[in-house]
Amino acid sequence: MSQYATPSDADAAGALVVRLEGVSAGYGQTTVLSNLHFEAEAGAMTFVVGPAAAGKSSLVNLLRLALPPRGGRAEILGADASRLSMAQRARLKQRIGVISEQPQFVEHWTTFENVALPMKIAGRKDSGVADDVAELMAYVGLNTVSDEPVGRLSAAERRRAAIARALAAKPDLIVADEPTAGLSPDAGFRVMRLLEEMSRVGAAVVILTQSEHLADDMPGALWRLEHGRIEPLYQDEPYAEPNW
Amino acid sequence: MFWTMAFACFAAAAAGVGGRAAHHIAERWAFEAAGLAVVRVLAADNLADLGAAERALAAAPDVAAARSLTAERAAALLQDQTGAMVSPGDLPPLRLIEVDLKPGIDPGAERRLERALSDQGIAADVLLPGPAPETERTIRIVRFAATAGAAFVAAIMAAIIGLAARALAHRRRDYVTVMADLGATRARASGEVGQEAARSGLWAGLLGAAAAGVAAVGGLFMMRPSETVLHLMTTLSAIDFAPLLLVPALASLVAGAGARASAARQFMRAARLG
Repeated sequence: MSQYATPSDADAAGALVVRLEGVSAGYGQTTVLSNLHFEAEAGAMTFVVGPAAAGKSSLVNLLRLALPPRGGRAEILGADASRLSMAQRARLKQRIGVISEQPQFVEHWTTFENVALPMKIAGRKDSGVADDVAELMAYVGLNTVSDEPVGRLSAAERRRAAIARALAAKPDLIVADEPTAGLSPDAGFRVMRLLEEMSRVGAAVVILTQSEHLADDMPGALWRLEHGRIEPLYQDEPYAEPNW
Repeated sequence: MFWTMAFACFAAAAAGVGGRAAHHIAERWAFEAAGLAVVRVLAADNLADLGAAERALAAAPDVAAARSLTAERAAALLQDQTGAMVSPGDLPPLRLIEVDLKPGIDPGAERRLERALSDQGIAADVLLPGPAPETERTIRIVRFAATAGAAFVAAIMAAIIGLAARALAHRRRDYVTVMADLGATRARASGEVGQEAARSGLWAGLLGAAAAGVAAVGGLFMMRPSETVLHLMTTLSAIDFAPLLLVPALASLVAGAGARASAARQFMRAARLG
C-alpha cells in the first residue's frame, strides 16, 4: 500500500486519502461502527458493499467529517478527524464531495445556485464559475432545469443535482451513497463514468452501495460492510480501464 | 415574520412616544400649576429697556399680564419659595418682569417668550418657578411610570422580535444545513442568516416607527384640533424623536443577534452528529 497522504499531496495517485484504524463511531448510546480498518486511495475507486442497516450511512457521515470517531484513528485528507478544530473541519469539508441518498438543498434556490454553492463557499468569484457549473449541469443532464427552484425537481433530478454539486469544487475525496439509485440505466452509466473520470484526475472516490454488481465491471477496491464491521474483498490497480 | 416584527416595532415605538407624551403632559401640568414665569432681562442699562421688554411680553399671545417685579413683590416671592424672611431693601436692583400666563399654556411658551423678546432686540432668560412639592412628587411618579411602562413594553416587543428572528432562522435551516455540509464556517453561515434578519428588522423597525409617528401626530391633532405644526415644533425636543429613531436600530440588532444565535445552534447540530 502507498504511503500516507498529507492534504498537500493527497491528489497524488495512489496516496492514501482515507485511513481508518480500529475506528468506532455511533450516535448517543449506540455504537454503529466498530473496529473499522479501511483505506481509500487518491486516483482510485473504492466500493463498499453492504445490506441495509449495515452502517453505510454512518460510514458516509464519518467520511464527510460529520460523525466524530469514538475510538481508533481516522485520518481523512491527512488530518486526524478526532482532533479537528471547527475551522479546520470546515476547510477540510470543502475538499470532500458528498452524494448522499437523500441530498439536502436550499430548496427555494435555483438548481444552478445550489450547484454553484461549493464554489461560492470556496471563495471562487471568477467568471469561469458560471461556465464550469453550466458544463457540469449539462453533463448530468440538468441544463434544462438550471433556473428551476431545486424544490420542484424530481427525485432523479435531485440526485443528479447532488452529483453536480459534489463535483463542483473538484474535491479530493468523493463519497457517494448509492449514486445510481433512482436513475435510469443510461443516467446511472453516465454518473459512474463521471465518478470514474474524477478518480482519473486524482480524486479518491468511495462508493457505498447495496448492489454488488455496481462494482462488477469497475476498477478499484471492493470492501464489504456488515453489522458495523468492514473487510476488504479485493483490490484492483488504480486506472484499470473499465469494461462497461 | 416581517409583519410580526413590524407590529412589535410599532408597539414599541408607540409605547416610547406614549411615554414621551406622558412626560409632556406632566410637564404641562407642572407649568400650569406654577401659572407664572419670571423674565430676566439681560444687559438692561436703564428702565426704558425694561419697559420695552414689559410691553413686548404683554403683547405676546401666551401672556395674560406682564409687570416689572418690584422689590416688595420679589421679597414676597422669595419668602414663599424659601420660607425665609427677606427684606426688600436687601435686594439688588432687579431687571425682572413677572408674567402671568394664560391658562392651558404649554412649556413651549418659554421658547416663544424668548423669541418674542429677541424679535424686539431684547436678550432675556425666561425662568419657570417649579410647582409645589406635592405636585412635583406626583409629576415625578407620572414620569417614572411612563418611562417604566414604555421600557416594559419595549422589552416584551424585543422578545417578540427575537422570537420572530428565530422563526426566520428556522425557515433558513435548509441553507444552514447545506452550508455546514459543504464546509462553510459557522460564523459565515449564521452570519448570513443574521444579516438577513437584521435587514428585515431594520425595515420592520422603520415601518413600525413611521406608523407610530403618524399615529401619534394624528392622535394629537384629533385630541387638539386647534394644534398647529408650528406650535407643535416649539413643544417637542430632540429626545421626543428618540423612540422613533431607536426602534429601527434596536429591532435590527435584536433580530440579527437572535437569528444568528439560532442559526449557529442549527449549524452545530448539522455539522456534528453523534
